[in-house]
Amino acid sequence: MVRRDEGPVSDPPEGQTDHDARVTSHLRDVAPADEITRRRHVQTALDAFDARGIDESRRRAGRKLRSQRIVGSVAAAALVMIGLGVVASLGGSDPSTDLMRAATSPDSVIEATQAPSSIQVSTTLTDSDPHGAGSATMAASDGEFMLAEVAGTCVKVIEEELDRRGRAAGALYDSSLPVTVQETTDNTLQILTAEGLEVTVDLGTCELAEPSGDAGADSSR
Amino acid sequence: MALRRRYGSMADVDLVIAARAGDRRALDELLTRHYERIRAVCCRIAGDTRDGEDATQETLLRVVRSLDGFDARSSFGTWVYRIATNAALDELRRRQRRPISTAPTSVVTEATDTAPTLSNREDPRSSAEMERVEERMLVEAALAALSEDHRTVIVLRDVAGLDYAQIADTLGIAEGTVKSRIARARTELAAPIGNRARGLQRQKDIHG
Repeated sequence: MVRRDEGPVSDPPEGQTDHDARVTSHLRDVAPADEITRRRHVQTALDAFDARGIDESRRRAGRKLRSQRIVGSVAAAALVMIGLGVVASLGGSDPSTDLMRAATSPDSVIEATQAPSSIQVSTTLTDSDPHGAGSATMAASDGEFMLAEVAGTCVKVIEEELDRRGRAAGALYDSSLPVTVQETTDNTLQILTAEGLEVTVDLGTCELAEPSGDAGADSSR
Repeated sequence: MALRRRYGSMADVDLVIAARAGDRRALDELLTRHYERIRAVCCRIAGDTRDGEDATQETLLRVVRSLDGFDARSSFGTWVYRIATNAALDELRRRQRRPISTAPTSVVTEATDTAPTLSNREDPRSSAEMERVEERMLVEAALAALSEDHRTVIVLRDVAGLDYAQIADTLGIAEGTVKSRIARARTELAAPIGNRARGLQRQKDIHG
């Protein structure tokens, strides 16, 4: 079937008729934007341009950023431990805090182990410690990492979910950008992508938490 | 001032290259240079100033996001109008999906705001101005009544100033289709003006 507007028609005349010329004149006669509106529109675009530059820098510096964060986190953990020691030596500490006791015990062995999204500080106490053995975990830092580095064996499940949500929200997930990671419990990571997509995953089971109502990218963009 | 002149004299493609390299001022000049035409295209296709301005903002953002994808096979203007057309059509469809439609804000010129009142109708200049305003309203109504396809081609031709090949490229349709759509759109848009002229002539004939 030939559509009405695609059937054979003669070309428009070379010169426009008087009526056509007047139509053209009216169509072009659009009031210009006021200066404030114009400036606001352009400025918003320029801000997006600046943000784009930042994203690009992030992309390039992704790995560097990650390694710096980890080094920084280890240093932060060490500072915390030194701080605890100083406080305890001044006698101003709360003796009921197991972590502090462990950290300041002369017989304890302090191990700082590095996990991708947190620093786990564990203390192994010897029998001579009157407060018994124990361990304490603290989230020393949240930060940005490449998804593959933090998601372990769950990476495929998470990426599929991000792809699905990104398509639904009109903000396609870009796996080359770092994600922001927050550890919500011992084994559960909350992951926020550069596009604003959010998933929470149990790294033990690779199960994804149900998205909250307002999670995900702003679909109005 | 000299800086502004320097950017102002640069060709679009050079501004694109500079912007890609991170030159914010080059992008500013590029967007400002094309702003009014983009806005006119968006407002005319969307048929409403508010929606047209939303589409204009969206166009500028899409330009920024897609700047690296501009391959200079077509002119920057053609590339931008393609983006503007899509943004305006998206806005139009979004409006059609809205459950409660708001009264569209007409794409009027300032002249409309100074439409002559009864008291100054005797002034021949005012009378001519009033006729022009009335005629423009007829054209705007006829434009709004056009199908989306016809409205888009006529806006790209008359407002954006693209030639048939550029319009065909922008919309991804054959050049012959562009020609036929434009011819039919012109017929539909000019009809109210012709009808009005005939009506006025009849009135003159009756009243001598």
